[in-house]
Amino acid sequence: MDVVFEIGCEELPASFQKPALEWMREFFTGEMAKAGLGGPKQWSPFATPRRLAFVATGLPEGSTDATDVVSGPPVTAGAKAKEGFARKMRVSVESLRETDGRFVATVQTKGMATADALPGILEKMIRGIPFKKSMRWDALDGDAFARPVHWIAALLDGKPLAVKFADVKSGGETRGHRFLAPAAFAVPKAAKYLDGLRKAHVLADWAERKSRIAEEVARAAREGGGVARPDDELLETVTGLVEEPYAVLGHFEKEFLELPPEVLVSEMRGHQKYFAVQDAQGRLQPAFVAVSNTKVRDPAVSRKGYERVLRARLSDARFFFDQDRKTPLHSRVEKLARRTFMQGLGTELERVQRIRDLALWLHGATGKGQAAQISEAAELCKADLTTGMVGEFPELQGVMGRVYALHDGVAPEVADAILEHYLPRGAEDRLPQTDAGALLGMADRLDQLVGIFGLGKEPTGTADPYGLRRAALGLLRVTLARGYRFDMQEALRHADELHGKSVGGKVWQFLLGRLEVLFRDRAQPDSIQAALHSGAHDLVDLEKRLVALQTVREKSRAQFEATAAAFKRIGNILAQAREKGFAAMGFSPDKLREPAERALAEALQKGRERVQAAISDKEDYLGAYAVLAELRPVVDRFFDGVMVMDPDPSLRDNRLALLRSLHELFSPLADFSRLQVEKSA
Amino acid sequence: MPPQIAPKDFQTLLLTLQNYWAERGCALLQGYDLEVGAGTMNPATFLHVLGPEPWNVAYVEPSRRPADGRFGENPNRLHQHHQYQVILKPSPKEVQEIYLGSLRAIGITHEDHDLRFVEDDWESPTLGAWGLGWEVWCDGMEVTQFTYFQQAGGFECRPVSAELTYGLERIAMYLQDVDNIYDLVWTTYADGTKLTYRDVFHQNEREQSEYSFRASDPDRLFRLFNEYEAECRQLIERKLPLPAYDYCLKCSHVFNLLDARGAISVTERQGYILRVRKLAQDCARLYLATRARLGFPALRDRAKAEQEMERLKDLVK
Repeated sequence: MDVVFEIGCEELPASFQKPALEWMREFFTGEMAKAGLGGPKQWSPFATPRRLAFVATGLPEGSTDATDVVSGPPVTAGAKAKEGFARKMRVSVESLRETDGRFVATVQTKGMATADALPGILEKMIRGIPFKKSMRWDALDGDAFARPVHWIAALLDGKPLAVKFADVKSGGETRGHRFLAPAAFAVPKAAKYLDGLRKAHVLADWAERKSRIAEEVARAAREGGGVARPDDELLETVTGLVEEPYAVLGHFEKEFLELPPEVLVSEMRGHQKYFAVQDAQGRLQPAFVAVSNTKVRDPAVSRKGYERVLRARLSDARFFFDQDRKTPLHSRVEKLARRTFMQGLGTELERVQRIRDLALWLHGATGKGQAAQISEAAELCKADLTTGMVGEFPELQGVMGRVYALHDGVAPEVADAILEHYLPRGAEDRLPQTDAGALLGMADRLDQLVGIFGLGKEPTGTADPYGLRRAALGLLRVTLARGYRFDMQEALRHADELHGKSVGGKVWQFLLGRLEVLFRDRAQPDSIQAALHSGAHDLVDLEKRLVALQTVREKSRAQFEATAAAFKRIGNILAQAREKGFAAMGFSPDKLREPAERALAEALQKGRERVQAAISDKEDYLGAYAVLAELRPVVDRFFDGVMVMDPDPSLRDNRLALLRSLHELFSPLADFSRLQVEKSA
Repeated sequence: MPPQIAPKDFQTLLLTLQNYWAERGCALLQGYDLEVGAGTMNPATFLHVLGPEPWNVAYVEPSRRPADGRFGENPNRLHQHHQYQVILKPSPKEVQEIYLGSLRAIGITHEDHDLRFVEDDWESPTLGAWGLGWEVWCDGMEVTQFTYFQQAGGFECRPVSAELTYGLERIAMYLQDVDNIYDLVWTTYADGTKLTYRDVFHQNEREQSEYSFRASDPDRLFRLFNEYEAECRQLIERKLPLPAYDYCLKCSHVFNLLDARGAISVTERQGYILRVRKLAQDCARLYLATRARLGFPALRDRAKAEQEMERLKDLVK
């Protein structure tokens, strides 16, 4: 069976549309499964500013009666658990049986026709869509939706399903484009849905609409003798703003090209959602492409409108640009004393001073960059916050700092650092190319993390209002990409001192959590855990340990698992001994009795220097793993032939001490206890 | 409806909108006689969107924004501009279509222009008010702020009102095809002389900018803020929400003046905003309680009125 479902509403925010579709699919599949009905063979989601819809084909007619036998809590759990289980299964307590010491319920599910199940599922779906922001309107009672709903179309094999939301009852009609096909018309059959809407001037399929926009924009840009500046994010936004796109080319005065290109692009894309036009070399042209939702009678009329708005905005930008350049960045620094960075974290000036302090500390610790440049860049790095341009376009912070610094005659390296300290601004963004920019950015992020953690405002759950996850990720990515060697815990301690707090430990744990995310694609989760908890606080070192671990693990999985299991076992024995108060100390070769333990002691003695050299001098973790592999047969024989927990305390403690030194020797490689390995040695 | 001729001067634009909304059953009110930053602050919006009584009004609001003054030198920015404000309470189902009809009435049609409803959520921290809606674009230019009021003064709006705020100068510039506000034609005298926006407002813009940025006396303004706040408080004590709200507006305006003068540090700023918000919320609470005590007399559906009175009975006490 085929379902066509459409919620028609007033213009939805562009960014709400795709996430809603994702959710609808998951919800629908889940609910169908719960009702004992299978999912559709094919699911096609559609979203435009005025509709959220899907066509699901190949649904079953319904489900048949079914009997399931479900095993519940153990009989020993008592009467309460029994009642609870019966309630959960929706059967009477008396009907429960006991099998193999457990309560067992026999659940009868009545078969259900898809036609009967769907209305309830679809109503729940409308109520459940989680929008970033929802609103009430008059016809609603207690419900909410992103914008008022005007129609609902719900058809199963062409027959209407009764679905109700607010004061809207579902019917078999939809509407086309707001202006070009406003009259209601019968919803086309599943296979004809897209086509029918196309005829009503609505390109309901997101991908189709997006590529049509891209074509339209390219066509218009060609008219202007250029190409559109590639901008997928803008393309996505515009796709959420139109139902049938038409691109219109517009121009602006050449003089505006004196503005920094970033400003021009921000003006065009940010508020106006215009595409910038550039030549083959990527140089901006005095032209843009606007995407209209309507084919107007005479494009010249709307073109004039688009141009007028942009001209006013560019005039404003030029005003700011001219005004801003009258005051050098250096003399703006003191103005930062009048801006609060954040309640509880002082002014922007105090922040800048902390950043400088931290950046210079990092410079000392890593030996990278030049102190004088770092210091000057730190002082200037937030000065552009006081400019009119950044006030108008916050996304240009750093960009304008660099432009104005160059205008003031500041050294290019310093000017670049002002821009680069914000990099990366997101997951896809580029990384800083200069040491000064990188160190400054790291300092800025350390200051943010420690400062905001110090206020007790660390991220919780999905809430991260201060963007600390992004800050942490930036700090980690820059450190690793540039291969900076330093003790991160020391750096955090230093930041702690500047804030008069002691949250370094907490922030370190937070960073480890972010590192796990960062490494997710490169190793399995337990490898990451084991490497991150190997005791190092130098990120580059941690990464090397992880790479070695994962390499060894992948190269000879079985062998590695056995070695790791042996080490876990040693760890467990030592932990138990510790609990019992046994002293795993004072190893003495004289107390060795069994050949297998003597062999282990000897092998350990021989391997020790190589391992230590490999680990601490050369960071050759693969080399250390090689020694470990050599040792394994000896370790195996030890466990086969020696009883560690000997009744004689002195023999026992000596063996424990032997195991302990073996364990300690290799513990810098990884925390083996965190590895999940199947085989036991 | 046939496309109409675009109003050729500023006051015809006003008259056209007035006629349009009068024909659709709105009471035509006037802008408030105190300084406000936007039509939303007029009690005809801020207080009247509270409670269940229906309210359909339209008015022109001269709106003062001291920090936006540009000494009459910027072609696009003004210390004082005019908003055309429409409140439809409850918001009719076809409010978008009715609104689009008003654009058609002033000559902005979808046959000739790219009209779009683009997400824009509105929030006023000083009023404790927010709503969802759009900015309406005509060929990329924002011509109207369209908001479904969700809360005012910290209270849920039941029913939800639709607020339409037209930026008159912008629309007029578009219709008259001028790039400078001061070149707008306000009207044409009997002898054929064109009265321009410059003739009417340019000196005011210069003087008000001079006042806001340079000539105001911050110490006195700080004292006035405290005085107005105290007056508002004592009027709230006496359960007079409308006079109290006047002094809340005074505080808000003085705050804007101080802000334009750069006299309020960033740290203090939030504190002042909270003080104004507190006043606004207290006025809103008192207004709502007073209407409830009166039995929401403008609501003809008495059962509904009783129901709302019951719901708000704790507030009335």
